[in-house]
Amino acid sequence: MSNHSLTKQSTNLGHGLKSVAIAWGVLVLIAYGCMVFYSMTPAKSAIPVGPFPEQSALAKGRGLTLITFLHPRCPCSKASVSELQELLAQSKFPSKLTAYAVLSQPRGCSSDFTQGAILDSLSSMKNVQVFIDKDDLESQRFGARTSGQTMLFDSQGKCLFSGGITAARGEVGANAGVDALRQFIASGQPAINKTPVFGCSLETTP
Amino acid sequence: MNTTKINGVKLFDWTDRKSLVANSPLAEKIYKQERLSVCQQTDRMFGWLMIMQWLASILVALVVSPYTWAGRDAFIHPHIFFVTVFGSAITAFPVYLAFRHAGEPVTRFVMAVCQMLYSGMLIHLTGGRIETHFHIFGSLAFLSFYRDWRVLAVASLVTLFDHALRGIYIPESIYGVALASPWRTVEHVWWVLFEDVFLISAGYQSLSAMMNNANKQAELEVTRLRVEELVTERTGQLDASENRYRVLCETAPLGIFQTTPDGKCIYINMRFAEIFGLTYEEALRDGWSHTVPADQLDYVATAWLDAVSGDGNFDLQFRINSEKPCWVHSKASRVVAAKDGVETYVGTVEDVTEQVMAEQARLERALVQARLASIVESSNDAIVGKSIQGVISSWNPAAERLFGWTSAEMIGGTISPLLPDDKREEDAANLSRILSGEKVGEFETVRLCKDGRAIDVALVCSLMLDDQGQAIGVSAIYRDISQRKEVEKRLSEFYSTISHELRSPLTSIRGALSLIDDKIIDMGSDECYEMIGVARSSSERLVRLINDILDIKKIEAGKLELKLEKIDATTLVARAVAGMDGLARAENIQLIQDIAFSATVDVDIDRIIQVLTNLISNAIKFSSDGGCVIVGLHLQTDSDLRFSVADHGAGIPVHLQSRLFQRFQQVDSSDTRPKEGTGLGLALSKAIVEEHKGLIGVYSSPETGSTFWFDLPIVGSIAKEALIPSLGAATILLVEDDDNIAQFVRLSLLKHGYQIVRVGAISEATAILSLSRPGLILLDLNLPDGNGLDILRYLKEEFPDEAVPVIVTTGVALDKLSLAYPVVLDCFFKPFDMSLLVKSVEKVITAAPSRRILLVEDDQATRSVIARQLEAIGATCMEASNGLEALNVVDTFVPDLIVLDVGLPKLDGFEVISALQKGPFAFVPLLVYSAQELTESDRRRLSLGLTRYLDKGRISPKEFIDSVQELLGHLKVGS
Repeated sequence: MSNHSLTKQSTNLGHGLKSVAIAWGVLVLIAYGCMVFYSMTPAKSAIPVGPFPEQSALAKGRGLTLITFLHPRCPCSKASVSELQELLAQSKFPSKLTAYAVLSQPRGCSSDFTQGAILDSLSSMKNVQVFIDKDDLESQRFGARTSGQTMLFDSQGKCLFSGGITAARGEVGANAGVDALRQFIASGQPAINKTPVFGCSLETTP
Repeated sequence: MNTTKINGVKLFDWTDRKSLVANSPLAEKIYKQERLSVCQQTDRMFGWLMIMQWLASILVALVVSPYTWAGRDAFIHPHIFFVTVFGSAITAFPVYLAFRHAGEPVTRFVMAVCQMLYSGMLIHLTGGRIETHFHIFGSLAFLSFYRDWRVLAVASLVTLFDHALRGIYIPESIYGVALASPWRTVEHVWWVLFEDVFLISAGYQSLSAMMNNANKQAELEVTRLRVEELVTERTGQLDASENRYRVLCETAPLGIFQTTPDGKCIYINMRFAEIFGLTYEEALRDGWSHTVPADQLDYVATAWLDAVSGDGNFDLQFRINSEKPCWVHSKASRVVAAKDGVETYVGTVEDVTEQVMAEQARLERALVQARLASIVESSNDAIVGKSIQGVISSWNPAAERLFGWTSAEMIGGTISPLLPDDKREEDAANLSRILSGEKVGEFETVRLCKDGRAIDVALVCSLMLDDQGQAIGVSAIYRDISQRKEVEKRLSEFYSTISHELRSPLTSIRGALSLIDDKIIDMGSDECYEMIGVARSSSERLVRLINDILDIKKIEAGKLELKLEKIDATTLVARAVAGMDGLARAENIQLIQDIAFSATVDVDIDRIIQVLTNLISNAIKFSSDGGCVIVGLHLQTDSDLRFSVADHGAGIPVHLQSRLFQRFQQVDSSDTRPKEGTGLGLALSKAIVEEHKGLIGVYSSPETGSTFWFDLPIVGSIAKEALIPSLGAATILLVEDDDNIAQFVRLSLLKHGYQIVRVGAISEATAILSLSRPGLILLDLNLPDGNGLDILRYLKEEFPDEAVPVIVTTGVALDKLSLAYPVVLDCFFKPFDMSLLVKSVEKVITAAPSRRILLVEDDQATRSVIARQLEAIGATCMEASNGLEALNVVDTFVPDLIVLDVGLPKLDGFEVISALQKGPFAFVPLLVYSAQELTESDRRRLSLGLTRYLDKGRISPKEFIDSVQELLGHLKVGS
C-alpha cells in the first residue's frame, strides 16, 4: 500500500492541536490507570475473628462451612455471587459443605433493602442458604466488612479461608480466592487463606 | 494484477504498484479527494460511535453500577465518574477531531487509539470476558474503513501493548485469570494481526478500485470537459449561426415566415408584418389571411390547401388589402422536423407591387400598341409610314391589298413606284408642306398599283412626332375611292340616263300633245288617237321610271313595305306571263311556262309579279326576233321554290354578272344600247327578293343565253312523295349536272313539246326511276356523284324486263356503251348539235299527244265554252256534268288534267277529289275553276297533283287557257 501523499494531509494540524492530542493521550492513560487502579484496589478485608462464632445464628455445618457476606445492592458482588455459584457447582461434595450467603440488612433498613438481583440469584442457588443479616449482626460477628467477603470454616470451626472470590471489582473469572476454596474443599489442603476482597462496604458510615 | 493467496483466499499482490498509480494528475486528484471523503465519512462515523459508546457506557454504568454502598449508605459509583468525566474527556477530543478535522490523519489515528483503548476498557470492565474481545475485531473492521494500514497498525499496536502490559501485570483485567501465559498475548495479537492482513488487503483492493474509478472518472472528466468544450464551442457556433440567421431574417428585404399547416404564424420577421401592413404582434396573433381581399380569398386558400395536401410547395402571387394597391408573391415549402415529425411551412413574401404595376402598365402599353397596330393592320385604308427622308418604314395589309406591293417589297424603299409621273411634283410639294408643319387635309389623287393600274385614292398625310415632339416621319393614309368614283360615274351616267329617260317620254308627250293642241293633227282622227296613244304610253313609261326611282329611294331608306299573302306560285307566274304577253307578241317572242313544281308562297304579290315582269321584260329585251322566253317554276330544295326566266340571247359576260344586281347597272349603258332601261330593275328585283328572305341570281353563257332565277321559301311542308317526280311514257328524264347545258337541252325539247324532268345527280335519278320510268333518258355520264353508267346498271339490275331507251351525252368517248346497256340508242359528244339530238329523241318518243282533259262542270253553257276553249288548244275534252259522272269517266282512263267546278250535283267537287286522291289520280294536275270563295282548308281538300285555283268571276279566258296549258305542258306532281 502506498500512501504517497496521505501523510501530507496533516498540514492543517498546528502545534496546539498536537499538544492537545498529547495531553489527551495522557489523560486517557491516567483515566485508564485510575479505572484499572480502582477496579484492582481491594476493599477492607475481614477482621480476623478466629473460630466460628458461637453466638452466630448460622449453624455450623458438620463439614466445611462456607459463608459469603454480600451487600444486597453491591454491583461488584454480582461477580462474587457468580463465582460462588460456579464454585458450588463445581464442588463434588455438596454434603460436606454448608454454604451460607449472608445478605446484609443494615440497621434502619427494611427487608426490602435486601431485595434485588443478588437475592434472586442466591435464591436460585440450591445449595446455598440465604441468611438475611439484619442489622449486620453476623457480619459483625464474623468481622466481615466488605461485600464479597467469603470465609471457609472446617468442622471444628477453624477459619480456613477469608477473602474475596473475585480477581477485581465485578470481574468474573479465575481468581485466587476461588482456586483456594476449591482446593480446600476438594483436598482439604490450604493454598492461600487470604485474598483481597473487591466489593462495597458492609459497614454503614458513622 | 499479481495475486497472493493466503489460505486459499486471493489477496492483492503487494508488489504490483500499478493498481494505485494514477493515470493523470486529475485521476490522482480525484483519488485523493475520494480517499479524503472516505476518511472524513469514517471520521464522522467514528465521531458518532464515540458519542454512542460514551452514552452507552454511561447507561450501562447507571444500570449496572449506579451506586456503591457502605452499609445502608449509597454513594455514586466511581464508574459513573469514570464514564461521565473521564469518558467525556476521553471521547471529546476524538469527537472534536471527527467533526472539525475530519479527514486529517491525526483524527483517524486518534480514533484508532481511542477505539482500541475503549476495547481494552471494555475487556477490563468485563474481567476479560471473551465476548468483549470481539469488540477489538469489530473496532479493527470499522477502522479498516479508513483504507489506511497505518491506522490499523496503530490500533493493533495499542491492542498489543494493552494486552501485553495488562497481560503481564493485571491478567485478570485482560484475560480474567490471575495468571496468564505470555503466549496468550501472542495468541491474541496474532488474531489481531490475522484480521489486519485481511483488512489491509481489502483496504488495498478498495483503494485500487478507488484509483481505478478515479482514473475512469478522470477520463470521464476529461471527456466531459472536452465534451463541454465541444458543446460550448458548438453552442457558440450555433449561437453565432442563430444570431447570423436572426440578423439575416430581420434585415432581409423579404418577409420570412413559418406557419403551421393551417396557416397560423409561428415565426415572422418585421418585414413580413410591414408588407402586410400589420404590427408584429398583430401578424403573429391574427395571421395575415384577413388582409386578403374577399375576391382573392378562395384563390389563395385553394392554393394553400393544395400545397398542404400535395407536395408541400406553395407559390402564389396575389393581391392584399392595403391603402394602395399591393401585390405580394409568396413561396413556402414544407419542413418536417426530424425530431418529432412536426410539419411546418417556411417561406418568403415579397412585395411585388412595383413589378405587377410595371407589368400591368407594360401590358396596357402593349395592349394600346397592339390595338393601334391592330387598327393599322385591320384598317381598310392603306397606311404607310415614311421617314423624313421618305423611306418607307411601315406598310399595312390594306396597302398590300390596295397597291399589290408586299411590305417586304416596300419597306426600306420609297413610294416612287406608286407615283404616276404627273403626280410626283404634287407629292413632293405636299411632303414639303407637311414637313414644314403645315396641315394638309385630305385630297384626291391617283396612284399606281403593282400591276400598273391607276387607282383613285383619297390621301391624308400627317407628321409623326415622338415623345419630345420631334418629327420622325410622315404617315400617309390612302383610301380607295375607285368605287366611289365609279359610283359617281354611274350616278353621273344614271342622272344622264334618267335625264334622257325622263326627257324622252316627256318629249313624246309634249310632241304628241303639241301636235294635237296645235291642230296639226285633227281631233278625232286616227293620227290623233295615235298621238294620244303615244302620249299615254310615254306617260306610262314615265310613271314606271318614277316608280322605280321612288322604289330605289325606299330601298335606300329601308322602307320597302311588303304586303304578304299566300298565293300559289303558278298564279304568280301566270299573271306575270299574262302581263308581258303583249310585249312578247310585239317583239315576236314566245313566252313559255315551264311549271315543274308549284307550291304556296307567302309574298307581296305585286312585288313578285314586278320581279317576274322585270325579268321577263329583260329576257324579251335581249332575245332575238322569233326567240322564246321560258318562265319556269321548279322545286329548288324541299323548302325553296325557284322561279326562273330563261332566254336564248347573247348571254352576259362573266365579269359583268357580278354587277348585274347593283344599282344603275346595265350590260350596256352606252348611248348606242339597243334596249331601254334605267338600270334599276335588277337592283329592285334583288331587294324585293331579299326582302322575301329569298335569293336571286343568274347563270349565263354566250351559247345558251341567260337564266335569271330567284328562290322563295315555300309555305308549309312538301310531302316527301311529292318531291319525287312521277314519270310517264311521254316524259324525258334529263340527267345533266351542267345547268347551262341542261337549260339549253330542256328549252329546246320543251319547244318541241316534250315533257322534261331534269336531275343533276345519279342519286336523284335513281330515286325517280325507282318509282316510275320515263319514255327516254338523256344521260350525261360525268355526274358529280358517279358515272352515269351506274344508272344503266341500276336499270339493268332492278328493271331487267323494262327497256327504257337511253341517249347518252358525254364529253368522253366511250365505245362500250351498248355493252353496258343494250338500250343505249345514241351517243352525243359534247358540244353536240341540238337539232340532231332532237331528231334522235323524236325517233324514240313523239311529242306529247293530245292531252285528255276531264271537264267537270254542271252548267251546260259554261261547260260548252270551256270545252271549245280546250279543244282550241288541241286538247281532248271529256265532259262530266256532276261528280258521279266524273268518277265514272275516270274509270276508264287517267286524264292529263281535270278541270273541276266545286259546286256539283250528286257529288260535289270535294267528294270527287276525295275519291280521286287515292290511286293513280293522286298526281293528276287539277284546275279548280269555281265561282265559290275557297278557304285555305277548302284548297287543301281540293288538291291532287299540281293544283291551281281560278276564280270564275275574275279570271279571263286567256288566263284560264294559260293555266290549262301550264298544267298540261309540264310534270304533274302533288302540291
